[in-house]
Amino acid sequence: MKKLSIFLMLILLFTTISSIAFAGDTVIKFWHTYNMQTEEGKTMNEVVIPAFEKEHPGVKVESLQIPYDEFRKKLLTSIAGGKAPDIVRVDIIWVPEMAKEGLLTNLSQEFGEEFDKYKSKVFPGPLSTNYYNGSYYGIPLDTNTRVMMWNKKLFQAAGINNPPTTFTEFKEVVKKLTKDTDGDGKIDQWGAAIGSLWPWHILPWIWSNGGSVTNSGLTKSTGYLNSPESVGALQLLVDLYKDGYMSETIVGGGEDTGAGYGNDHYGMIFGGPWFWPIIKGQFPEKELDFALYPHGEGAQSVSVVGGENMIIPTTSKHKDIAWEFAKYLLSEDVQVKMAKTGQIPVVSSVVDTKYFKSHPYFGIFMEQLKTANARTVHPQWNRIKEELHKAFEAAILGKMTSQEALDKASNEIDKILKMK
Amino acid sequence: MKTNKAYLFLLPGAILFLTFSVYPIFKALQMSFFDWSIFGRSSFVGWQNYIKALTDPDFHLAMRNTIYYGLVTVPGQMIIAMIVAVLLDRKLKGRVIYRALYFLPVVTSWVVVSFIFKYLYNQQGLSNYILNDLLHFIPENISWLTNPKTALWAIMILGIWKGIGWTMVIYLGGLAGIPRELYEAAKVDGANVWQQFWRITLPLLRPTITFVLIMLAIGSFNVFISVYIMTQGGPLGQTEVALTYMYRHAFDYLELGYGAAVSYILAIIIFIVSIIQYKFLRVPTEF
Repeated sequence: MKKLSIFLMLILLFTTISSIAFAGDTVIKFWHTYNMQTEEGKTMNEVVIPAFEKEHPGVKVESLQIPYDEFRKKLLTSIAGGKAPDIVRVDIIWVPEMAKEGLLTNLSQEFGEEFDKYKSKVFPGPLSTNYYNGSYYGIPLDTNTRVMMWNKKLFQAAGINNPPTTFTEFKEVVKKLTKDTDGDGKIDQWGAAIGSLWPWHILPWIWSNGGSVTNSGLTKSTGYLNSPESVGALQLLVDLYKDGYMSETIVGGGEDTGAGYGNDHYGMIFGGPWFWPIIKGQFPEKELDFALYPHGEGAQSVSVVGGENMIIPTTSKHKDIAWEFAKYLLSEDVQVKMAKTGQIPVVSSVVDTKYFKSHPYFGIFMEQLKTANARTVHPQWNRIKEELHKAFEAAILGKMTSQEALDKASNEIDKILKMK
Repeated sequence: MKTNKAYLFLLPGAILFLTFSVYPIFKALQMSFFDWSIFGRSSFVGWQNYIKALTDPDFHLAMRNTIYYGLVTVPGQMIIAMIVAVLLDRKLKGRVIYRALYFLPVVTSWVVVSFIFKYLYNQQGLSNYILNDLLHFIPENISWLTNPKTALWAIMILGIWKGIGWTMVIYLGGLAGIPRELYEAAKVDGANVWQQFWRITLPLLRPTITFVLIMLAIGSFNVFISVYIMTQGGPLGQTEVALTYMYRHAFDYLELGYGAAVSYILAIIIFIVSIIQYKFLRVPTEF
């Protein structure tokens, strides 16, 4: 009995001491997917967070990086288990799904006028990815989009000085740049290489031809996904692939798009701002030239919006402090600091800063972002994504015509949109 | 006193078993009758999940592929392992090393080998280098995992490779139980190697073969990691199996109750198949 009572006393002592020691500080947990090996992660942990803590004495931000592949599952399980973080930097495509499940704080309601003030500071495209059922459940933190990268060396060798701006020009250029360069009877240089058949890669073509996946109210897909404009865009890609002008990357084979560009095997590839450090890392001497996505007749160049939003789980006990941190990350100063690490800002006023105007490649991305579309902002995006992928795959592999494939997909998506 | 201490020793294992094996099995059964949300707002839906699964053409495709996978990998493993086991049953030099090499794939991690084979199967990968550039077996590089005609075969080859060693070890155990005198008597009677195998080895291995067949069949229904990592069920659903279908509905679409129902349907199918195999092949062994 004596041993037991001493043991209990020690426990009591320990808990008292520890609660005194931590009593002062409020700790908020911040989960993200920043790459800790590069500047983006280091700047966040070593510069931005300490600065925030200095401005808010008594507050500590516990920053935790989780790899992207496990992030969504870890986040969902932690919320279900009651151990959720206070503020999270999430992929924009997860917001509607989580909002629908009731996991996210309704920022419009919770922070009212102040939220509206910040709402008007950010770009509309990224902001739209936070909208669900009449309110906003998150706020953008960083954004990105995809543009075209054209291989000036290959272009000039073929006597072309400028990248294509229309689908017609694109077709001509792709054909001119596809050739057998070493005379062995096999094509080893392709005019274009598209990364895969997922919507992230294919939707910019559909949008740039005036097509779309659904109507703006997200209630109908038939008449939009299978419209002549959408079908025409898909058919452009199908024809070019069938006739051998596009590399196998679109169906998952072939040489990686970045490496192919660096090795001068591809005339045009498409990607986000991260391609700069990736290609330069492997091919430091290679010149990278950017351009907007080509567009169809009567349409404009429309690419896809990517990026991350900040959300506050409903289970958080420190919503106000989390919101303070979110506002801090949206200040012009922090947005520019993170921009220097490759994170494209979402605050529109930043575009007019000197840093931006003189950046080697951000300019083209900001230009493309002006018209960029978000992927369908619906809780069932995972299913819609799957249907789109199936349709694109069926058309490219010749199992169905583009019209048939998109007819089928739009019917399925009609049903999916109706799911709660 | 002694028996009380025994229960105390059994307790930790029993708790783990009950918590992580028994409880989830019953919980999943409950979930399968609900539209289950892990965030607490589930609603009872009765048989709806089961009916939805049984009438979903995507599930039919997944089951078709799963059965196809079993029909190829189970005999594949059994036949190759039988040949290897018989060869390694005599006193060969380095026999232990050969047995270890064949068994090595069995103990590797499915995740690791799936990634490795994904690189091997790449259009610019080692397999194409050997088959096309070196041996000229194929006219041009094949992207094994993205071609609808070859993807499932690529996955099945991995499955066979990985399982041969286990089957071989079981056969070796069975072969060790066959008395040498039977072979000697047969040789005296003029039986050749093939007749010895067909008339002595096979019949006496019957219980071993039955066991292996049932275990491999159950295992083949559970194929998941290789597909998930190498093709995610594509292209065009040609490698979608029951468990990738279930996984997507449960964790990508957050339909946990539906996923539970699918897993129970699969469990019932496996159970029925195993019973049929057992009843069919159970014959008393004669000496």
